Amino acid sequence: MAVTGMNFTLLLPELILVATGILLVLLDLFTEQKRVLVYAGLAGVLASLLALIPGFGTTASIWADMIQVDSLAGFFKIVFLAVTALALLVSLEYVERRQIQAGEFYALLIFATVGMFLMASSLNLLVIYLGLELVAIASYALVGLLKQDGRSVEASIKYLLVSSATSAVFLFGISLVYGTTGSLALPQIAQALAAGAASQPVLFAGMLFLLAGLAFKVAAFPFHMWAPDTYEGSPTPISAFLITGAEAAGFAALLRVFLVGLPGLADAWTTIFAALSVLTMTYGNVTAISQTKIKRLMAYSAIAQAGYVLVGLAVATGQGTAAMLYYLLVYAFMTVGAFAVIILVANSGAGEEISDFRGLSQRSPFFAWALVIYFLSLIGIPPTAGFFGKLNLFSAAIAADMTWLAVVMVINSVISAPYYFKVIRTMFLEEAAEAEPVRAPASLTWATAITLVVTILLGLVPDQVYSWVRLVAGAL
Amino acid sequence: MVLFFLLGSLMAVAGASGVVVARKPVHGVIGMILNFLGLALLYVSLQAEFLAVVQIIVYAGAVMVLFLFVVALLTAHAKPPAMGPSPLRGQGWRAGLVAVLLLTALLPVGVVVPGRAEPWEGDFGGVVRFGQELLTTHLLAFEALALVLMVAVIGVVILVGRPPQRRRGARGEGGS
Amino acid sequence: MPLAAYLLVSLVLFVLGGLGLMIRRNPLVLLMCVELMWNGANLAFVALGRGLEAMSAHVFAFVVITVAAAEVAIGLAILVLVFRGKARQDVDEVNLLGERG
Repeated sequence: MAVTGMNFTLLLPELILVATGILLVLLDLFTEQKRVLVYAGLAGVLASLLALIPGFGTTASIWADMIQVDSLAGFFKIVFLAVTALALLVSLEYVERRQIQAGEFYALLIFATVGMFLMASSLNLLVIYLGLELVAIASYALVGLLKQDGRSVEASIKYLLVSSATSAVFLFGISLVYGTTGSLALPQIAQALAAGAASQPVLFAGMLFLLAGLAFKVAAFPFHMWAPDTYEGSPTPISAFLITGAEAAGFAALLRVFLVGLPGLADAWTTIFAALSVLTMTYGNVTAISQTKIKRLMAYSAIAQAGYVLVGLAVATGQGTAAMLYYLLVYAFMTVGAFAVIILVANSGAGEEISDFRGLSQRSPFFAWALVIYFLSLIGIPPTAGFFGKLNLFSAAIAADMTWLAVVMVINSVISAPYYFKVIRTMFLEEAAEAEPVRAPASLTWATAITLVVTILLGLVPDQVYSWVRLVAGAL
Repeated sequence: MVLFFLLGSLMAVAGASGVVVARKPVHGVIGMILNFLGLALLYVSLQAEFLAVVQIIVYAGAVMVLFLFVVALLTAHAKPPAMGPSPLRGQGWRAGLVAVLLLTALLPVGVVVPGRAEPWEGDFGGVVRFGQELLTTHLLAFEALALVLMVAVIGVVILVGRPPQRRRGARGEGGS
Repeated sequence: MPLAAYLLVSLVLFVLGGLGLMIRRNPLVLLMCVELMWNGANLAFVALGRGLEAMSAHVFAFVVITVAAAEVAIGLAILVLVFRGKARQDVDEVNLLGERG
């Protein structure tokens, strides 16, 4: 007996990342220069990116149908690698200052990325579950890494308890779906549904469990309660990594499970996603208004943004999926960029309150203006990338006869403006306690510059990227 | 087999209830072990002999020893945890209500599942069939599982291990 | 025995675990309650797999058991950190995070 489709070439991106992770742990033992680890990590990410090239344009089911290589997987892998590379960059200074064990920190970051890869590139519920757990277990450790800081440890234990409880819910959902359809492979599940299994109450319950389990992972209301605490307490680069990468991976799994596996129940789940979407964006935006800590503000903003992305699942069309993908891409860059500025301010000795951003426009004009652009993009003001992201979701909703959803989105964007502007006002109109300029390390400047260019570029020339994303969504 | 089912489910449910109501964590651990033994019996009656063995060795053996160890480590010198009435009064019956509602909502789901656990025949559930399944069709999952375990080991080591050395005057984030 | 009976037991275990998560405060006990939920899901898997005569259910249950062991290991490590920092045992007292602070 042999395994069908033992294709190492198409699995190379994952293999390279695993090797990089192990290498980082070993390298840590031999070098005092912890910067080397970041460079090695970046090299690994780049190599993995290059290894994606042979898989472009092909659709293949390898390793006994456990791994699906297609353009959707390719798209998400590029997003994950970009997020990981940026997370490595923004971590460099942070890790040195906080005395975090560097080798293991970067290795866990990269192993979590492998988990995200598995979530996005499998049509098998077992592998999706394993990917989810890989991300989760690596993140528990990463979130709790500031061991002297009670907040970090507390965030970690809360995250672990909530996340493993939701994994149990997800598992129960898988077992019910498996019991009724007789398969763990999403295409077979879809076939069983089409053949008449869709009417069974067991399957419906299973679908609800799967939905709840994954909704937790993307922090959709009312499954969001872990998110603000976790994102506030964890090391700031990890907040950025989880808020963008892990959330995108959650959406990748949602897309696979519901669009590929359960299209037979679309009538039910589109309604649920529409409701979740409205609740999530409204709750996130309304709660964000009263926040005084910048990381909590970003956490609630992330919840609101997840609400916008859910619109794509609520419409369940190719256009909706494309809009989701575009938004996730844009969101990753603008959010990591904003976190780079937050890390800069925190590293300069100030804390993580919004009031610590006072006078940043004088202390460091470049970073202050960069944050303005990220925030304009998060609100959705033209010509930034966020505007086109929202516009796509908006037109997808209208095209699917869900104008009311589009209207709710616009209202929410308006609600969201004040809390972003509050930060901008603090930076530009309030005097700093100390006027000396902030010293910016090269790694943070690079991360900010890259994300800034992408945020502006995706806003100025959105069409090329969008047509690519349409193609990717069509392949699902 | 009926006897196995009855005994197993009784032990599993009794153990689980024990975990939920026990005041001391140690008693909870004993409840867990009872629960795992009951589950192993249920697995045997479902012709999952290899899983039954794994359940006892990995869960009742390794995992619960780990639990016992931590319970002993953490509560040996501390005063018994102040359990008493829950700080959030009324939470108990509300949670109970939710649980009962969930159970009644799911009950019809469970009842309609067809099929029976008998007869116990063939090599289904044996270690040979299991190994073949695990290392052919599910080889990739097996490898990913190895990665999960490695990540857990690394995570545990950096969380509770002491850092090799720290420079003098180093400042953690704590207290900011 | 009909498989429906097994599924019923698994549901009871799952809900008991969830109930424990809602009413208990000790993080050690909470971790055990999560284990109960995982085991409930596992029993459902094995029972349904028996009906389908499919070994993949056993593989899945095996994977879940292993992942649960990994999860417990890391959960206990974090708990040791929690206790090491402050001799607290009650998640209601673990509240540095939040809007108040």
